[in-house]
Amino acid sequence: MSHQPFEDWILDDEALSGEEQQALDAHRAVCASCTRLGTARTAVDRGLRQAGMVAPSAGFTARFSQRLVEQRVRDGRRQAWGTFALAAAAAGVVAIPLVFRLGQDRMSPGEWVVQMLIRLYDAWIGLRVARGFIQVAWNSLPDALPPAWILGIMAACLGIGVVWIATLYRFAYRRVTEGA
Amino acid sequence: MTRSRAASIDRGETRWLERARQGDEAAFAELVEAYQRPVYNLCYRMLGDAGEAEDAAQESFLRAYRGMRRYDPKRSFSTWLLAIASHHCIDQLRRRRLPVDSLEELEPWEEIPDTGPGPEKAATLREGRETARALLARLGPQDRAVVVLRYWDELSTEEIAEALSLTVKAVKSRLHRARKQMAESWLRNEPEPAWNGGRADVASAV
Repeated sequence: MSHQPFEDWILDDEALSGEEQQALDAHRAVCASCTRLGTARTAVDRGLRQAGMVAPSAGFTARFSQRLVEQRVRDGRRQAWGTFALAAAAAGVVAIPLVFRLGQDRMSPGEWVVQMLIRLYDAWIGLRVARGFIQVAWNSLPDALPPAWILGIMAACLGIGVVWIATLYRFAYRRVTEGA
Repeated sequence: MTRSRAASIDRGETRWLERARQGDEAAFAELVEAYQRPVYNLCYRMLGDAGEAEDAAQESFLRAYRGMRRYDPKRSFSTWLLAIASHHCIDQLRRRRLPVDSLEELEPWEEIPDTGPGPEKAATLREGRETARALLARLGPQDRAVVVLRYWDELSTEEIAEALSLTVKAVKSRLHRARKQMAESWLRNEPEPAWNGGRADVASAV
């Protein structure tokens, strides 16, 4: 015996037309399986609806407020660690090659300080040279490179800047309420 | 609140929502107060444990608070909130990966103090909770969420689809499957009526 569409009618929520209801009643009169399914569906519905709403124990909102405060402290700590890690990473990128180079020569603390000052002076001179190079390049680039290349380079520089700002924003400035 | 449709259009709530979206904690606390029951109930029905439900409900509100700026005021707040809670509970259940094989393996039902109703009503409630827990325990996480949103929160098929990121057709199909599973479960645990002379397997009726 086919139990379709009667089983669907029993289990689904769609309202049945008069004819469909008559057909279902007629089928159930001769089909023990569908009769039992209908009884079970009714019992399940009743069982679920009888269960009612369960409420949390008193003071739920106060506990939430407390949790929010604790979460904010945790987020603050994470934010501080993120900022520290970024700064440490940036400092490491600059300092590690310098320290590595200085560490290659065995020197007394006095010599080490003198070497460090010389290196800083060299770095300052290097920056001045770099600035001069950039100025020359800036003035001559329009003649040397096609406009599309210049636009591409500028877009790449802009992209790096945006990524850097977004990173700082993500780890250092974002408010707790905006979520992790 | 069985389903506070009226509450979602309440002027006070609209004000709380506006203020909460601007980061006002006190306004959000009012929303927590108003919606704690449906959210906790959903978590409780999904997870079946009072402690886990409390934690999940708190976490759901925390996520909602953090996401308030992304909340679209054109949508129903309760549906949005229940969606957050549903997804969180589904994730929790998937992490558990501990299928319940038979009703006998279920842990004893955790009693929740009944405040208010008399002994008879309390007994009916307790019986209903037992039944509900046993029936829901057999369902997969998403089917369970569909059933809870339908039976306790009385969401429409479209609202459930929106809350669970499913199609309307998928919701109907899940509801159909869940009801069938629950009916089978109920039949297995009910004494066979004398007129039938033996147990009929519902699955064989398909």
